[in-house]
Amino acid sequence: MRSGWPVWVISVGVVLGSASCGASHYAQVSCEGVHRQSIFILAAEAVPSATYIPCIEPMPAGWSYAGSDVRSGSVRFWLDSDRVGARAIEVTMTASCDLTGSSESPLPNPPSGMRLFEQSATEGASDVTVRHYMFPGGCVTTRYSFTRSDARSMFDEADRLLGFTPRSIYVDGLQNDEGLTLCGAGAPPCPG
Amino acid sequence: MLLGLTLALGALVLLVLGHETAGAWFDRGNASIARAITGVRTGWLTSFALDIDRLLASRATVGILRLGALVAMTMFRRWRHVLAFLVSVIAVEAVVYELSILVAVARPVGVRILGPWSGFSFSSAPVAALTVTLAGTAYGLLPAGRPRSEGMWVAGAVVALLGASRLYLGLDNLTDVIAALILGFTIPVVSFRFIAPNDVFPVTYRRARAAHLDVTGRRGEAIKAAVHDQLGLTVRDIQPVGLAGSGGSTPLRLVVAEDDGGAERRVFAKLYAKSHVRADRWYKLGRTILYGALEDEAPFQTVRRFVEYEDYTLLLLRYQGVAVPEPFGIVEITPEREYLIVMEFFEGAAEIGGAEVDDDVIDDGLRLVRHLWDAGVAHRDIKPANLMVRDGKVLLIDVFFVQVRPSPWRQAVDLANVMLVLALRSDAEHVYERALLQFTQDDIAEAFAAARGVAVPTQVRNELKRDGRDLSGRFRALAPARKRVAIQRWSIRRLSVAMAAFAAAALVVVVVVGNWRVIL
Repeated sequence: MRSGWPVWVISVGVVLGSASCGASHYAQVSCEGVHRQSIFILAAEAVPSATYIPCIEPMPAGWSYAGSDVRSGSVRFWLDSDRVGARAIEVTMTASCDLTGSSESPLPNPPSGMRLFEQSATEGASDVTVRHYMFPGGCVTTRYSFTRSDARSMFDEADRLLGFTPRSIYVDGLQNDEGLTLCGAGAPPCPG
Repeated sequence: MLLGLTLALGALVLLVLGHETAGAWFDRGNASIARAITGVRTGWLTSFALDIDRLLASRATVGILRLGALVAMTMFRRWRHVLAFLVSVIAVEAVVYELSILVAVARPVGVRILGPWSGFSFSSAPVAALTVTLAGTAYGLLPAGRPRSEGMWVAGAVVALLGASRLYLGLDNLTDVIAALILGFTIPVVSFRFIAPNDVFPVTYRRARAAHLDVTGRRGEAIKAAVHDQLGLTVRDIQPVGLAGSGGSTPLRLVVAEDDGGAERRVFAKLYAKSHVRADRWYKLGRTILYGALEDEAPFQTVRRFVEYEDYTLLLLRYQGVAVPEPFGIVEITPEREYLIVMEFFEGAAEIGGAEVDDDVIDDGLRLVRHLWDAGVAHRDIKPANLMVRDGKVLLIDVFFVQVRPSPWRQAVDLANVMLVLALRSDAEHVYERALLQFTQDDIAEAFAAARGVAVPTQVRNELKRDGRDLSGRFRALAPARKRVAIQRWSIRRLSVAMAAFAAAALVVVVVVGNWRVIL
């Protein structure tokens, strides 16, 4: 019996299998069926003061969820577009954001307490659009790798991709389902 | 050990399945524990826990530890340990990452989280990373036994400190830490046991060849018991012997006594293990790549076949009248894993390198090859370590490489090698003159046209270098001119094997380089 081969097969398999570690493949932060999605609980823990959590509305053809990164202090996810390219939209939530150079824009049917600030900027050789959604306890910054004047239809599509869910949904859900407190905004004070 | 691994992996599977099927129950349990632990938070303890987490959960710390371990293993040329370490680290990082996606457990709820974190909580990536690093370092650098055991205890204490700190800070759930500890300890243990088993590749800081097995301790006791049971001999002493000239087995000298009260005597034995089968396979693969199908390069498949073949060649040569040791039998130490072949020990014989070589010895050495030629066999490993001299007679040992009905090339090489060995103890002109008594000029010319490069054993090549005289050149000058015999053999198989080996090596390099950020 060739006893040595499993060692090498396993070794090579493990080494090859690990090649995917570099990318983030967390579940999509989808606005549909948001109740009790672990990624939202994690996002709520990342920025406990935020009263809203960003999510992705159903995507039209040509857009795809590309990855996310959730860590203490920030939630980040990004979308690819077959027309604009990788990371066409990058969404970042933090507790606050720098609004220097931004001007307030009207936001149709805004969730309670939310305001929109927008600015155009240049990154390298390309123009980008940066939008800040300010709300109590948090700020969501979206960075489009294109401008309204570059691709108006794309911009309109992108406009409709970002949604928000109130943090209270998760606070209440966890409390009702498991009797647990999701510390932060909308929850009673936590020990420690 | 096996039971421990099974229990640990069983616990891990239970944790994963538990989170998947009874997530709420686990969440509540984890939250209760987190509340209890964070309930004891005090200022100084929190500062201490934050410092511990900052230091031990840092990628920089883990990277430095891993780099240090890899450099140390590389310095000691423990390539298998390096591979086992890399496989362990990459496997743990990959499994932890995939589990975090699969199980998707949030950070502890119901308590305030202190300190930085990233991604899902199950299993704890920093605890797993530190655990695999320290456990892999212990396995790769510390000798088995007390040093490694103590090293593992230290590793356990360090990771326990990190795990406790992270629980205290509310960064991880209890199940996250437990899963990380299981992964971080079991994967390197399994990896090192498979890739660099301690029996075969022990971590020692004494100079020793990889092929030579440690015959003290449990193995020594097993040898004594098996020789007694199977050959009826009581082993009084076991000593490794002639290790310098042997790479494919562990040669031993046993002091034995017959069970019926006979006098003590010495016998020679060769211990073969699976590592030798593997080494034989790699050796033949290497030869196939470097030279093509120079000879029969089919590897042995089992240890049992190794000893069976050596027993057969000893009997065959003795039957043909060649002076080789008398075989006393094969001893099974561990079925299909380790076997011992026991044979006569040439009492009073000296290795030819240390013996007086006069005309009688030269003639007898040459006669030995003449005998092999006439019997239709080739020894294929004629070198000083395998030629003994006693009372002016040359005795042949280590007949494992003997080939029946070899090619004329291989027979010619045997002649050249014995002439070189004899000339090392005298001079080329004299050996050439004596050789003409038994061989023709053409035989000798062909021998030295064939004996080049790999055809000359390493020990002979080293002795020739040390001697300084160009003995091969001198023999070629004395013999009729003959075009050198090429040893390169080209075939589709050789090209395929070479390309596959190159591709595998390139793949490993590419993947390791590609994962360097994961490793460090």
